[in-house]
Amino acid sequence: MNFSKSLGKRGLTLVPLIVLLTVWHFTTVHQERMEFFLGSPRLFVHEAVRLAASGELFTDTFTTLAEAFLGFGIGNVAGAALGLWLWQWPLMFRVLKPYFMFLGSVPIFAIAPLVVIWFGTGWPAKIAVTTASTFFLAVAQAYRGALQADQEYLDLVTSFGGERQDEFWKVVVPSSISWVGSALQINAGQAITGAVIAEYLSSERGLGHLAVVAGGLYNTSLLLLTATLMWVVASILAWLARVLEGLLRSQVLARL
Amino acid sequence: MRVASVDKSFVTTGGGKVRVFAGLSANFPVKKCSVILGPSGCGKTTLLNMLGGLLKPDRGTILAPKQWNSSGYMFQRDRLLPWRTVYRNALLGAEIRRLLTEELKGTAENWLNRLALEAFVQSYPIELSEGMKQRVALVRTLLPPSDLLLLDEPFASLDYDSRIVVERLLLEVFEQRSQTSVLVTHDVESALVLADRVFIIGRKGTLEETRLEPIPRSGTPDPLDIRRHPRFFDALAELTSLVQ
Repeated sequence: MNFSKSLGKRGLTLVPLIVLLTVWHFTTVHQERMEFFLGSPRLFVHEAVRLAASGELFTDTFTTLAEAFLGFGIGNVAGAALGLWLWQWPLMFRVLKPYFMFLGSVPIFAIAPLVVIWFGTGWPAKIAVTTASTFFLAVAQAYRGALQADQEYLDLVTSFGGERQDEFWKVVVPSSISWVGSALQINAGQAITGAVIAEYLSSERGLGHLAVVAGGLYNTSLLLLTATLMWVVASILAWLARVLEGLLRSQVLARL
Repeated sequence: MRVASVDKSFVTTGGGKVRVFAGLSANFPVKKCSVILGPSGCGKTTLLNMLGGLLKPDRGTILAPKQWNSSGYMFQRDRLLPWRTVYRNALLGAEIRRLLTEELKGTAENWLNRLALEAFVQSYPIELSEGMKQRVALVRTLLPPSDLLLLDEPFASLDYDSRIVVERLLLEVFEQRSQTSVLVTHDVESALVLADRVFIIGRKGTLEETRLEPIPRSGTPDPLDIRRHPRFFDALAELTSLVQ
């Protein structure tokens, strides 16, 4: 009973999609001009089947996912580690803060061409761009989280004769877990943006590359398909961020 | 342990200066339990913070025996780490001191059971009442052996039954470990049960030792037996009038 109810509710969320697809179909069917501008469900499926058959659908999606995932991983791990480590050196954080703010607020597409000059057009450049697009937020969040550590808990550790490292592992790191977790969530989106921008600039594979090709051919349906695949990649990464955040809470926090 | 001519004042948020102690001196005997009584806001916690090394006096000295190197401090607020279970919170002090052994873990379980927390060992602090949290904090403080034990209002959130159980545990620990301890409370009855010496903080920031004779006890005394002692009510009346 409950199952069918929840199925019913979920089914309801599909209604707008079905309406949209129906409207899309009837505005473009047998109208070449409209089909050129808006694409069509028929061509959308046609492109999907064509790319799946050639294998491009999977290689491009996987390439973007891998680039985003690696940059996401490196940026978050290195950023969180640096942010937490800086808790022990507040003066250093104050010195570095304006630089971090500058680098963190420069739009990633302004940095990307530089990265291509430095790292070339291959994998390293893509990963450098995705890393850069996640790193600074991870630093800022981890540092802010570390600052949230309650002075009363720090005094408690001191009262037992605890040293700086006891304060760090027993209070500071656990206090910052939820901040690090929220950085993961935000950075999941940032990493995809970074990967796609890097692919726009120069690439032979990946969804950014596919979008450039589709744009050059004025293939609206293919562009829409690419956007859908980017959404799939973003969803996978967002899911992964949620799983990682859950692991941080259930595995890491429970041991600190 | 000696406190000699200690001055302490605080700057308020308004910029004013509030003097808590001026020329405070006292001698807390080693291996005994000293209880400090006084009205709230008289500086009891400030004194404990100075004894525990968390605050420095503006002037004067606090002298502890040279061989002392550890203290256990039970704060007024429980300060249980919200991400740790009751059991792991109870072990925190011993972990920090690198003293955690299987034997000490067993002691922690035993004490948690005695303080009626056995069903909550794997619970998180947010699931506990204030009184329960305070009992966990007590186990955390008592577990690693310390040269000096500082207890700030350990009975504040406890009902009468729990208070007796906590007093029993404290008397046992004091006896078994010949523990030097300083306990701050405004509860005259518990003060009388636990104290070897009683000090009173006056309104003017002075600390005076009372000449009150402790209730005679032998071996590991029971808090109820101490209360049944013929001198208990007279002593309680005397101490109450001294505090007032």
